[in-house]
Amino acid sequence: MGLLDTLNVGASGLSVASAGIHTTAQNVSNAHTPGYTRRGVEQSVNDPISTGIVHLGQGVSLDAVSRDQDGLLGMQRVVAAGDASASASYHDALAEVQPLVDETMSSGARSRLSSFFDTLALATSDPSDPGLRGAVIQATGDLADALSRTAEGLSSARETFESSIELSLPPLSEKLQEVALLNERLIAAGGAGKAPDIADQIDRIVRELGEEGGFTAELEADGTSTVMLDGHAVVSGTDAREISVAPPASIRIGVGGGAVVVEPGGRIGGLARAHEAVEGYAEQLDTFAAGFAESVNDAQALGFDQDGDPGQPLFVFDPSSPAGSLALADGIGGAQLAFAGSPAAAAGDGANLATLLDLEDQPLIDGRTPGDALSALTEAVAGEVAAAGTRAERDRLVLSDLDTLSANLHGIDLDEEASKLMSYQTAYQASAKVLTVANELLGTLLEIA
Amino acid sequence: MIIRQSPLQQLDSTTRTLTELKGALERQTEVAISGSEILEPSDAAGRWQQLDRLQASLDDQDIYLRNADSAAAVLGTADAALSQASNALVQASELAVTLASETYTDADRIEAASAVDDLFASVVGLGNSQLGDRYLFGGTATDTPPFANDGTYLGNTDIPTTVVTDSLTVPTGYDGGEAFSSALEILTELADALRSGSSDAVSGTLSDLTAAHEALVSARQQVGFDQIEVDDARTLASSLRLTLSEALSAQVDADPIEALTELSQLQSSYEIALQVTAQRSSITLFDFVR
Repeated sequence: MGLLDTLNVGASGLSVASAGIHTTAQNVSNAHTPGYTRRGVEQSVNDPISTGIVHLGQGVSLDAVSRDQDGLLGMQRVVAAGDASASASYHDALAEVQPLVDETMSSGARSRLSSFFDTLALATSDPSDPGLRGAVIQATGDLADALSRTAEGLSSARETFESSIELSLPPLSEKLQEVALLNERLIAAGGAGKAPDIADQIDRIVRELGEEGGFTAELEADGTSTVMLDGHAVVSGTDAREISVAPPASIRIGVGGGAVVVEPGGRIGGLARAHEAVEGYAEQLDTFAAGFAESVNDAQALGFDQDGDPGQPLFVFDPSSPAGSLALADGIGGAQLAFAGSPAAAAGDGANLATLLDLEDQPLIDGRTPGDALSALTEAVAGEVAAAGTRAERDRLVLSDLDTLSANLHGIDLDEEASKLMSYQTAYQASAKVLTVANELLGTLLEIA
Repeated sequence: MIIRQSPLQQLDSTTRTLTELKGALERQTEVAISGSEILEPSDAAGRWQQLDRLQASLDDQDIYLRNADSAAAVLGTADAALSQASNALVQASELAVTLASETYTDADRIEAASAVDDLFASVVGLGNSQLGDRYLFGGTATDTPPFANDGTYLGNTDIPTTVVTDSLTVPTGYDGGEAFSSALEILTELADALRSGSSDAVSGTLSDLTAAHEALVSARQQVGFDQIEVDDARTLASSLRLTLSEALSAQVDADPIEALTELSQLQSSYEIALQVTAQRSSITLFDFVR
């Protein structure tokens, strides 16, 4: 054991303190970087050497620059991020649909339906009045237009959701490829402990995958991440599987060229659920449109128009898309309204007008009156938007709590880093002093020699 | 466990708080401006159908009021026509009573027949009364005159009606045959009796004149009953309209004082949050390291 060993001990301390300062600087500079987790220096005492009498220490070694990360909490955050993103996107998507059935604007189908029956009720004061008959025709056309517009809006919303899902897949595929590539680099580097920045990158991408598509990840023993979607591995080690949209309605995801079809989560999953919900609303609207139009046409057929001819259908529609195709029949004007109860009835006869007017209170659509049926659609959308808003807020709070917990456990606290900096600074200065002393002693020895 | 205060977390928290406050402030501003608590259906999720029924009932009352107004105009015109026809029969009766006396000569009676002809024409005109383009006494035949010049009834016996409440309809026309035919027939008989110069013949029309007059009075009574029903319906619709408006208002309208107070509170909270954010100085140990 000699002074040269002492010099080496001092140098090792200087090196570790320098690494500590560097790591602290890295932490401080990334204090505002999303996804960055605190780094720490892992050091250990070097094996001592024996002089025959005593064992003398050989300084300190830098073992690793570790990430302060909790695997379980990390997984929970990815799942929570997916859930929060799914809830938020479901709520936002339905909130966009809500104006289509928003009767507070007094321009929707429900208002038009009221106008239709109101004009019929007004026509009872003089069924022969061309002005009142014209108002009924105008209201009939407006109702058909409103239902058609609503149906088109719902259809357009579904197409937008499908398109958004489809457009999301290429960037997701790129991210999956990136994870596979980073896994490869991680293995080459010797694991997460040796390459914390790569592990951070994987975590960040997995979080993005979770938010976008509901992907989750499992940490493997070699430090790599296996990315899963609905229980199926899409990235395993260095392999990433192909993903694509899958029928029905292109709102599901096929994995491995469509070999497996899975339900997405995250933002895409929210859109897929909104797509299904809107499909239900569209069916509800179609049921209403077909049931109402047929009832009105049937009632019209019971009466006779101003020429004494049997009532012709007021509405026409394509049975495959009743609401979207609903329109006032060609050639129907005020004179063709079959208000009269018999072919030879006088101009003021409104026997069949009463029949048409009675439809307002008849349970024509699934046991509901026409007004209640349309109102139920608005209520269904409104209720779902409100419930989705509550769920989105709840999921956001869960994610926020987990993020806060993670930040508390693994985030950068500048006070803590400043304290470490001072500690490493002192260690560095002390090690430097050791080197200075050892150097001076060596100089003294050399002078003797 | 060490509780760390990450600057990133602090920034996120501040941003979220500001965003939430701003959203709440914007919504409350809309509530205060519109005066309505319900800006979109989801604001009233769960009670939307109830509100919708209230609104639909309110709309119905407006229609009922308009129909009641139309019916009131019809009934008013019909009442005036029946009243004038009734007066014409009273004049005819007075004429018959006078000319049934032996103090008048046959020539006087023949001369008086033309006055009865005038009354006949007048009653025919009243039977063809119109409101706008509509004939009121032709039953549902509202587009053609119900009486020919010779007093023949050309209308029908169907009564047109209009809805004035959920369960009540009132007539918007009458069977003129029932109301006027007996009057026209007896006026024809009276004119013929006068032309015959016979005082007995004239005297013989008196009882039928009374019966025809009673028929007109009876018809007028029916119009009166219908007017009462229309008035009742109008009162009911007005009252229901008010009640429904209040009920809807209670569910939908924002209390202006409450809305403005909440708006003011939110504005203050937002301003304070902005000030705190602007003044927030992240003092760390670095500030003391020399």
